[in-house]
Amino acid sequence: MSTEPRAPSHKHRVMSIKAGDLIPGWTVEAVDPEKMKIMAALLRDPNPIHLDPAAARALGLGDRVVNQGPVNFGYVQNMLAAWAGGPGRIRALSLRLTATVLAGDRLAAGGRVTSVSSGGLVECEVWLDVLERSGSPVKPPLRALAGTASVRPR
Amino acid sequence: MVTEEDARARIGHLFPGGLATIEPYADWLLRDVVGSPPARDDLAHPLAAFLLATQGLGVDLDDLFALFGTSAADGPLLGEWTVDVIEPLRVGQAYLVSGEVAGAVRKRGSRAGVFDVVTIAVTIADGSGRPHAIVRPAYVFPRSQP
Repeated sequence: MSTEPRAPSHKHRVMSIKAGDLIPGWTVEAVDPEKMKIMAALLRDPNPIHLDPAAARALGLGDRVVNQGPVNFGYVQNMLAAWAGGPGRIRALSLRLTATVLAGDRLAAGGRVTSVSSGGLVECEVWLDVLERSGSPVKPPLRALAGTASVRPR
Repeated sequence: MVTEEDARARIGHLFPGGLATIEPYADWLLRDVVGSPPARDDLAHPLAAFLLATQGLGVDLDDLFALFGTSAADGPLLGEWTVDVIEPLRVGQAYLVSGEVAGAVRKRGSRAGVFDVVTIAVTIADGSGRPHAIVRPAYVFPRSQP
């Protein structure tokens, strides 16, 4: 007889999730300005604030290039996918951009379960915070994204 | 400056739309940009919804900005983004993308000055027209300093 623990079934996994549970966070140690160039090319995004620090400075956005909003969304999606069991588990996401993220920033995506339906759909509040800027802690953390998500965990 | 009425008159404007596909290299690059683990199957990274909506709208961001009398040099920002996923998006599948201006609201803030919030509704559908995802980006177009 096997004594190995078995992975919880989907029903048991979802049943164990409850309002108030924190979703394991997703950390970005330092936002890489080189990734912004790749994203600008993928999106054909002409906005120079993602490419040229002088353009960001001219608009009063700081001394470094500004991360694209969609890249910030991707960090939250990474967190949800890792927790829920894959990218196909995210059914809805709504995010408001509340502050800019700059090259070099240290970030943390987080979330909290707000409700679980009988059908297994989990509603969450989600966020992305800037924890460090220019090597110094940001206290309290600067909220860059705030929103909600619906996921169907595996 | 574009008037509030001018901006509102764009509501209902239909974009050309078109076909869009997340190629394997684009999914790889998206994952690299956001630090996601490599794909384990043909499901695209969820951020592919943004890319498909942008690629398939049939206009560049510059054209979208120009429709509202602004340009990248004026500092337009993405203010909000919503996606509803009916079917997870897949790498290599061709999607029909259609989009329209869903909203245009002028606002005034003590710090931000006058700005317009323009919402675009983009539907990503399969070849039969069945929606797989609906994406709603809301752009902020600064109109004047406070």
